[in-house]
Amino acid sequence: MSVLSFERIVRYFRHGHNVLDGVDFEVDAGEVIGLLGRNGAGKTTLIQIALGVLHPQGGAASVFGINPATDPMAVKLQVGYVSEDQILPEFLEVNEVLALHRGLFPDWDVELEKDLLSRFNIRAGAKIKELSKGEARQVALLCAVAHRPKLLLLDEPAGGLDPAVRREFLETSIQLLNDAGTTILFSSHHMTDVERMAGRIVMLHSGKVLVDDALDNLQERFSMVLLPLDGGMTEERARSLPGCIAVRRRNGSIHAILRMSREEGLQAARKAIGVENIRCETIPLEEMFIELLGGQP
Amino acid sequence: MSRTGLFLLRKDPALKGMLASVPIMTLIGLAIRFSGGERLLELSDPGRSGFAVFLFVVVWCVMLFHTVGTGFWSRCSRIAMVLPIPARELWAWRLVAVTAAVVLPVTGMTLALGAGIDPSIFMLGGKVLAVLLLLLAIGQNPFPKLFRIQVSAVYVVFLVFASFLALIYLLLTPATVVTILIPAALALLISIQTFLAVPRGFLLVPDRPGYPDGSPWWKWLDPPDLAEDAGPVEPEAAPETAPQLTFRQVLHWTLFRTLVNRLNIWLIGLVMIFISWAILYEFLGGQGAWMPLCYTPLWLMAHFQQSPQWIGSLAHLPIRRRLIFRYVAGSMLLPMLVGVLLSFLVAVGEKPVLVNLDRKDGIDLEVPFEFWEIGEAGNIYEAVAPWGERLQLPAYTIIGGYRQVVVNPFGVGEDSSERFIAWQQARAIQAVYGLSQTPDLDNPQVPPGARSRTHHRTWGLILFLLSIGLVAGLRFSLLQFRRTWARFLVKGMIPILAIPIVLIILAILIGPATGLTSREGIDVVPVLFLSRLAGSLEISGGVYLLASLLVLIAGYFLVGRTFGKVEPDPTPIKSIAHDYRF
Repeated sequence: MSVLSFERIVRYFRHGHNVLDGVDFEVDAGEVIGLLGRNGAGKTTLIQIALGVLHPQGGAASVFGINPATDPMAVKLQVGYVSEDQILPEFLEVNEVLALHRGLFPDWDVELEKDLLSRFNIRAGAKIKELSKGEARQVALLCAVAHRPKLLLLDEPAGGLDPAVRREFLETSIQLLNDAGTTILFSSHHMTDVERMAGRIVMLHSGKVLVDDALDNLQERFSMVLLPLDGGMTEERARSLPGCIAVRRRNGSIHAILRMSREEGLQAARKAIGVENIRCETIPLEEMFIELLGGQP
Repeated sequence: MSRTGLFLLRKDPALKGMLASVPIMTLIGLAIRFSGGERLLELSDPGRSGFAVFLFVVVWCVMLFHTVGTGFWSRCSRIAMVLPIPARELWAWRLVAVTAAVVLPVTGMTLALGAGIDPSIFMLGGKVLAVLLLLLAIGQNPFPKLFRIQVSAVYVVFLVFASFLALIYLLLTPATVVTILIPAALALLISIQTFLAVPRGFLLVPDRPGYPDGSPWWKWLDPPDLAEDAGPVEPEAAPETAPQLTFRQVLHWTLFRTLVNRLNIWLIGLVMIFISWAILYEFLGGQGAWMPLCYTPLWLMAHFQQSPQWIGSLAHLPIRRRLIFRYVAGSMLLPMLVGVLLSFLVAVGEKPVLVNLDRKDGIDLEVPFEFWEIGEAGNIYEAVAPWGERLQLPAYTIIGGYRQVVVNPFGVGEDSSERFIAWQQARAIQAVYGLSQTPDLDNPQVPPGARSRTHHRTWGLILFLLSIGLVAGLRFSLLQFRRTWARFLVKGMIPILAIPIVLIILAILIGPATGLTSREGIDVVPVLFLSRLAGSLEISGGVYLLASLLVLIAGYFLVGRTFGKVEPDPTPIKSIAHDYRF
């Protein structure tokens, strides 16, 4: 049984404008899924549907076999959640926030709480409003993981954090939860984070799943051919390459993104253009994101 | 006015807040004046005991609103601070905006309370305004080099203390030109002193940590500098991190702070106390003012309609909705219960009667509206005593041009003899209580605890209908439809329902002068209609009361169920002064 499944999820906030329009995918135990999409693609909405905070208007979500729309309490008890917009009660002290979570989650691990508190170097007596953004997010992470959730939902968890805190934050999450086989679904606009953490990518676009594949496969499926401008190379010619999905002029050459592996791309380009002076590279995730989503309406 | 000034004023949260506070305060004034009957109007009379309560409400509502809601402590926004505008200009425009935001709501309320009734209320309003401006000037004075006042515990205690002194001044001095000018002049002097002390550019923090910025006579208000006091901090060892509060205490404190401790809830709660008090007290006194019954559900519906936003920050936690609902509902039910309790306490002390001979302003024999009559316009209505003394009873217009009028058949006049008044009083008691009487002005034969079947039945029916309407309205206000037009309907329901109330208030304001309607006509007709309906149904007041209680109890669970399904709005709530908070 999958840990998390979305079946033909439909959700709109204005009638006729579906944010999610039949989203369909499953997450197995222990998987780390990077949920990608442009702003407004529905990543947050999907995560909130999994948490039972929003209800789908079509289809159904399931978390550990429980429908979050009908039994959100059972879901929330097994799930850890951190988001960029998450507001901890700023009038409480850190230790009071921890006491609140300790009482709310029966499986709270006091030892883990102590470890993390000392690792993050946060004063337990400090009020939340006195903490920096990074410290507050670390407290939120502590609250999300110290009850040893089986599923961790991270919605832009490192948004607005400096690179050092972001790395510390993400590595703590991975280290803590991969050991225990916890499943992670996280959304982020930091592609380097996604490449470091995720084993599988789900890309949302126009309310649907545009890409759902392992990160390695994904990098195998796309390549970028660098075509020199000399010899009459134009963007039009580049666009006529087999499997070409995008063309861009950069630094004295033309970059063509092909929907095929690096080796296949190189051969196809040489054959089509008849030029030997061609390089073909794998595409970084960020480039892939821009080419797949950036150019689409 | 310079373009910079216009720009700063337009962006000022105090002025944006004023768009809400002016109509709210004016409506509160109108509500006190028109809907609570004469007893609530006494609150604005300096000679009566309710004066202190009135002042308390005005001063504290305004101060709280502008202190918390509009970033009172900021001399300019952090964004404006980096613009090439002199600090004095920034602060001057900010002061203009904050002053306007204090002056205009109180002016609106004073006008609503006093227009056409008693000019002395304007003097009183002027004194309240002058004192508020003085508090504003004092509150703005510390640390003039900083872009904002550093709000320390000492500063808050000082302001609270100053507010109490201001209240004492308001209570003990008469409302004259001199008592208005003294605080106003002081406010002006302090503002000039602050203005002169403002440098060319504001500082973000004091020059030297731990010290104020050179305003010597405010040094005792110096807030502790956190950075200096704290020093290098070692993380506390985990075993020592046990909080003082237990889980339950933290949970309930969090729910209270998140769901109840909001300025608008305190303000609505305060109004609820007064409305509940007014409704019950007026019912016990026979002069049932029905209008608060109309807008009480609207307050509650507005309160519930906002709740999805409040619960957004708690949505991801496994806290049962039932518990959250108790806080959301309780924050309104509790003030209503306090109002009811207050009303009972006052009623026990004053022992109001349904037939009341009022000699305060002239003479009037007040009977519940259910015992008034509807007559034809143009006819002459007379009360004729057995010995031949007669009185022409005044007929009050219901709607101008409409042929029917309302008449109090038990009316008495200035020229009526004591015998006639006693006769009318005996007739009224007989009609209201069903008790046979021997006319005796000083000793009406009404045993303690006597009840009027008609009055109780009518108000029982009103309460029953109100309960059903309230439960239906609350459920409707929580519905989250998928269709845009349906969602618009839910959001627009409250303004739509408020329109008739505003029209009735307008009719009360301009009706008597234009002959369009009369206060009596508006007060009596709905009660009389419901009285007749209750009479035809022949159900006792006790049964209605029981049925209302059952509806309200069932409604609590029904609304709670609907509340349990409400999707929280996870968007963080931004106050109008969001940019002014740090």
